Amino acid sequence: MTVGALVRNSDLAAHPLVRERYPVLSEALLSGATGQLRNAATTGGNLLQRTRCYYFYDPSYPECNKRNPGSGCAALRCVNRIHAILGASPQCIATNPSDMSVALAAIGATVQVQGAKGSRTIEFSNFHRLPGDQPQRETNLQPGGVDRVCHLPSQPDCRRSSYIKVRDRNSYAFALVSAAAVLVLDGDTVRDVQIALGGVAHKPWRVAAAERALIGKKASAESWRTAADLLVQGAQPHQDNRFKIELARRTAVRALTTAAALS
Amino acid sequence: MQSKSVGTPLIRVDGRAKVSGKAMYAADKDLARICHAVIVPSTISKGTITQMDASAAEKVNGVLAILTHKNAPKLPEKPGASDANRPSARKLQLLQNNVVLYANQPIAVAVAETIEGARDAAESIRVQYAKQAHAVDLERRVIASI
Repeated sequence: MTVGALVRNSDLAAHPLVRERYPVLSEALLSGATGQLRNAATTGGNLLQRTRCYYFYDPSYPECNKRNPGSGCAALRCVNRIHAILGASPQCIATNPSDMSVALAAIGATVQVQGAKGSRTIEFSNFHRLPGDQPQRETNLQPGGVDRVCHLPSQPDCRRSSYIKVRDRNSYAFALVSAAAVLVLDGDTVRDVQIALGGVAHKPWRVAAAERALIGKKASAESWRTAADLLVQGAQPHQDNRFKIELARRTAVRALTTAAALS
Repeated sequence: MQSKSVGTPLIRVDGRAKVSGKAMYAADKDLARICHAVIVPSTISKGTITQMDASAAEKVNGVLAILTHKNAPKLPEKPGASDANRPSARKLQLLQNNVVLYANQPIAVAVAETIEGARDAAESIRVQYAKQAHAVDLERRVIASI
């Protein structure tokens, strides 16, 4: 399936083929923002949305390497409850707030981009960047480049998929942690699995080892917990977001459980 | 005494339009030759502006004006002593001097042909301040000033 950059989030979520073949994408989109925002938001825009880190937005905090390279990171020494536990750097601990991107990461979409030198295709896992020492660079789009379409592959079969979003409120709030799971079962054996975490890093977080560990295993809580542990391996908490590690584990387990239970 | 309107449900004239997304707000109107303004807020809560560099802002494509306390039109003077300090007597005092009285006080306005130009210009204005200690406790402040 090919999705144009100007397709509205609400239209994409409501499309019968998306609801049938990629329900995780529909669920993720519908969990985000508000109806009015989803009507105005586009695929292309959602892909490029920026972090909601308070210190990025508030210029009264001069330290923000994303806004002003080299100035420092205020989040490291201030309230950092909503910040990253994985893949961060001493320069930046911001997270990517998009729900849609977590679902697209789990689906294994590709993004076709257009630049001055022509068109190319980027694997979703390579579209967004980790902060490293250049947190001002958030995607691998070149300057002047634009995202044109998103390709949703037909494999793996994404019909058994689920998005779980955990947040302070039941609605109109960003994820503290979220998980998108795509499961292919053979009876009660895992044939294929793709799982991504949101709210924990500068980009949707997938761990190949966590997915490999599930292939051929029984669809069970124990299997899910093993994968969840691998998903959060190497997590580095900060003063106010230590809770995210266990929350991420449980959210991943919940997403896999929910996907497995789909008939 | 029973009231016919107080406490009874009332259909808002604008209700349906607003909840269905059909209501037209000022920003929804597509007018010819409209320009856009973005406010630059102070990043300190109390003090004075010692320097404001708008040179980069003035070069942004489509910028029409950068208003600061140096070039903003003079507003009517503050009410005289006899008017006490009635809220209704206060006159708006923005961009009139270099004094910052509260966090996010508007200290400049970038005006441009596009919203993006206004935003880029506003973000490129460099401000230096002489910061003073600010108060965050209203009760203690009022008591202290008596």
